[in-house]
Amino acid sequence: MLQVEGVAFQRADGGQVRHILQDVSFRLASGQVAAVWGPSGSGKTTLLNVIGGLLRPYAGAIRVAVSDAPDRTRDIAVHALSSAERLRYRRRHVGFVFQFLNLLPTLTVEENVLLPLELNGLGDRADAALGRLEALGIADLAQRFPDALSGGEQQRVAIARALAHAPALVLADEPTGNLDADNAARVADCLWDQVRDAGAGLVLATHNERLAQRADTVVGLRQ
Amino acid sequence: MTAPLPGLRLLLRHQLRYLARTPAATAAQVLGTALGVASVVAVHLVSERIQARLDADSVTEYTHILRAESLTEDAYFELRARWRSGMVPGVEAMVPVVEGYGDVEGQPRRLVGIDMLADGRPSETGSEGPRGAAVDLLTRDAVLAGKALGLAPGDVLRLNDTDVAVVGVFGSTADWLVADIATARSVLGRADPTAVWIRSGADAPALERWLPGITAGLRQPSALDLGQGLRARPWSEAEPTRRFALALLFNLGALGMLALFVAAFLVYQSAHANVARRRASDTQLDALGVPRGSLRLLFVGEGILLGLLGAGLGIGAGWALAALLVQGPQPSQDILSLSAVAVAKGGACGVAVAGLGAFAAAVRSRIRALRYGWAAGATLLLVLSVWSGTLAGAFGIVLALCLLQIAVVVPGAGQALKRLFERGRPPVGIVHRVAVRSVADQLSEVHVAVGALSVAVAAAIGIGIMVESFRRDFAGMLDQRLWEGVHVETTAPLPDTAASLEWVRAAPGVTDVRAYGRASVSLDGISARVTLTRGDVAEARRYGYGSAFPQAVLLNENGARALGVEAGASVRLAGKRGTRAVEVAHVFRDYGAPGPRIIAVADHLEPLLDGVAHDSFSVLTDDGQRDAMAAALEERFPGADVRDHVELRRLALEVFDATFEIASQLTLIALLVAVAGLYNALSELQARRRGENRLLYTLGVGQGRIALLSTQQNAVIGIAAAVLAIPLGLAIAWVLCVEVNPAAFGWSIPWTPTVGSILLPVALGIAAALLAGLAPTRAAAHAVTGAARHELA
Repeated sequence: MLQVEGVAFQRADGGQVRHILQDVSFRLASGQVAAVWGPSGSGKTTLLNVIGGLLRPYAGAIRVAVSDAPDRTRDIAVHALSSAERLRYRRRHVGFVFQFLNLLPTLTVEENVLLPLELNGLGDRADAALGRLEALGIADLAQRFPDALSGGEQQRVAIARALAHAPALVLADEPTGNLDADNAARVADCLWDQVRDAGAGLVLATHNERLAQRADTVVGLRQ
Repeated sequence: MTAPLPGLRLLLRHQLRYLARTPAATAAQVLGTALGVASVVAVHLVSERIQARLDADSVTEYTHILRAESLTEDAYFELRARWRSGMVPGVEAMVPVVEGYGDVEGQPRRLVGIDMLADGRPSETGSEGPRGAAVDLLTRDAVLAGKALGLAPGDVLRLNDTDVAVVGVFGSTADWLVADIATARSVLGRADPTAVWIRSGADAPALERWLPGITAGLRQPSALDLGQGLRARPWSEAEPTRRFALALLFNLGALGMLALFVAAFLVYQSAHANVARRRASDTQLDALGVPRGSLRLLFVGEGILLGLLGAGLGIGAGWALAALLVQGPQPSQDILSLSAVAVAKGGACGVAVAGLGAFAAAVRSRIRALRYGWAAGATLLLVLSVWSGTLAGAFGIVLALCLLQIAVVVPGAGQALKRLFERGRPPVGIVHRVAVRSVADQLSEVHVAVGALSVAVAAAIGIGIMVESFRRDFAGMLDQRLWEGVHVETTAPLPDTAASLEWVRAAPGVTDVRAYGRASVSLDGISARVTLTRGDVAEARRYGYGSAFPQAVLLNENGARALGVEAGASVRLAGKRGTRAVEVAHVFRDYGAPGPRIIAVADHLEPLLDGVAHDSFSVLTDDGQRDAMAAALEERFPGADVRDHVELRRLALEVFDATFEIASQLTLIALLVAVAGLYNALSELQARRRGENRLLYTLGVGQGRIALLSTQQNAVIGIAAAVLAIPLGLAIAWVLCVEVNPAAFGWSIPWTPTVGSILLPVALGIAAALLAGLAPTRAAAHAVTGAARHELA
């Protein structure tokens, strides 16, 4: 459902061109996990931003198979989308989990989870989205604000939000980077289970080797 | 032993590089300070200029005027000799004056001849008013023309068969001519002076120099005893428009204080924001063990330095702004001078307040305590001000209310909204809940800037209501009081009163003549002036009363306040020949009256009084006869003060409107200053919220919608500031109308708020918030993609 073919990204830096990504290629099927692994500064976040439509690649192609209706799928050529089209693609077909600042501090847990549904006009899926809070063991926190949650709880809310609108793809950037080992393992389990359960693809950027080894595909990046 | 400021050299280098690497934020403090200082300087210079214009219109750098039937040239020289020998204390200068009406192309024109050299002070070239052109006037057959006459230097007038050259113009509403006394004597054919103008007392108090106009309500000169039966009357009594003009100036001074207050908060906010933006590096330095004292010293030093730079720019900008306001956009030879006091005032505001703002930001752990301190101080000030019941106390009430608005009301409203929105669900979509709840946070976080905007809107509401109420009532009073006629006041009882009045009644075009007598009485032990008149319905209506009052008296507000009585009360009236209880039928407003006064019927009270001076009368004429009548009366009663009521009304309203036109411009400056303060605060807030906006953008909220959300937030901030300003504005207006003006002048202004006087400032406040948020909103929307690129590093 995701094809990344020869993707390159560069930027000007003080009159010189700096190559951030060069010829990155991999494929991912629905329900599978790809781990983008590499040291700091190797371009993991940039690759996620390119796949998520936040940045346009310098070269290469990114295709995502999405389902607009049962039994009807189509490919989106992300690399060729305009800025407005990338915004719609990101809003409807991608879910995000970050290391920091995952949640809007002025919204409750429930409101954070319902936000993607409102943005996509999918209010009828609210029950299913909130049901995921139950599955993640945080249903009793629904009316709390993020600043009243622990780091692990916040990441679980972020997972629920990332999957609320049933996206084709979930992009997670170091989702366990600021958690202790126990919490990191629990959050990773939740992420894996929920993504597989939703039938989405997961692209995970991490420099955690153990986490990367759990993935179906590992994309190695060098500095 | 450790150095008092270890690592100072490196810290200084760090600080300077930080300022250099964030030029926009550094410039924001300098420009914020400059704008605040500019408003302080502009308001000061405009107030100084208005004061100078009022003085020029009234020719009253002189404080008293002596008119006497017996005033001959010999009498004047005798008086001057006694003064020079020290026998007339309290007089600084005296000049003889010859006044009268001359004929210019068939129109009578008032000519005032002043002995410029008698004052003994050097002429002030370039200053407003006759003394500024004294040297030119000494030329034979030269005059200065009041600006309202529409003449220009170089024009030649035929005045009573003499050609006189116009060598300059003066004033803004004056419609008379000024000449040297020798020219006036020659043109008017009079040898003896008709009056002596006297300047008494000390120079303006220091407070007046720092807050022009504010002491106008404190100065109430009394009559001067010159010995040998001569008494000079205060100009404010002899010329009610002068006293009224002082009232306008005083209220303008009050507005200047409010503008100063708003500007100080802008400077404070700018300096505070400049230090607050470095909290992250500040925390690092703190963790490294840099003493807090060193950091505070550096921040305060930086605040003062940037404040100095901003003050320098602001002083220049304030001068330019004031010049634009008083001179208009056209180049003019009338260059506005920059006074040392204005420079010192603006500079002190810029430097000291910037240092205070930087200090407050540097001691951030105590900010909450500081806010509580402000709130406690303001509450104490409010209690003491209400308790004192004085004029200073009335100003204290306004100041305390403004402080409470910033320290308590605005952040309190933010906290209340935050609780309300967090506990309940605002009836808007989830995305908009982000905006609504953020506003509640913002009201708490930038309460100083929002509070300053709120105070500026409140000042606009308060001043607007006061001015509107004042003008409505004043115009109404003028309509009632000033008949379409000429009023004549002589310095001594009319010679052969009955014959004199008969002569006036027989004059062509005269429809009625009303004679008045003056005397002094005691009302419940307080001395008061009595005006004796007919007491018919027509006379009663002049004072806003609808019935004849044959057995009662009308009492002015000053008297009612002094006696503590209202309409319907009975007071004990004591004259030299007897005592009687009289009923107060009505209490009337008496703008311009310096003390208690009653209007009574001559037949009713005259038997109790001794020494009633029948020395004034009003002449009602047919249309078009007033000027000729005034000239005829001047001729018939030399030395009398002849006033055209219609002209008096026009002049009074012109002075009023000219003064308060500037007032509305000053209100706009205060709002602009608040816009700058809010801009700084919103920029800081948007920078802090970049992460949230970036998250929204990642989730698929477009830049346009993020900008819209930000604009909605700014609008809500503006609405909140403006709505919170309404009660404060009404309170400011109430204090000005019901406390300040009565305490300063003895008269009250009816507190009559109108929808227009509230809605316009409210709309301006909301527009100001939207304007202030334009650039930060654009920056916020742009920053979401900028942040994405930044992440690549």
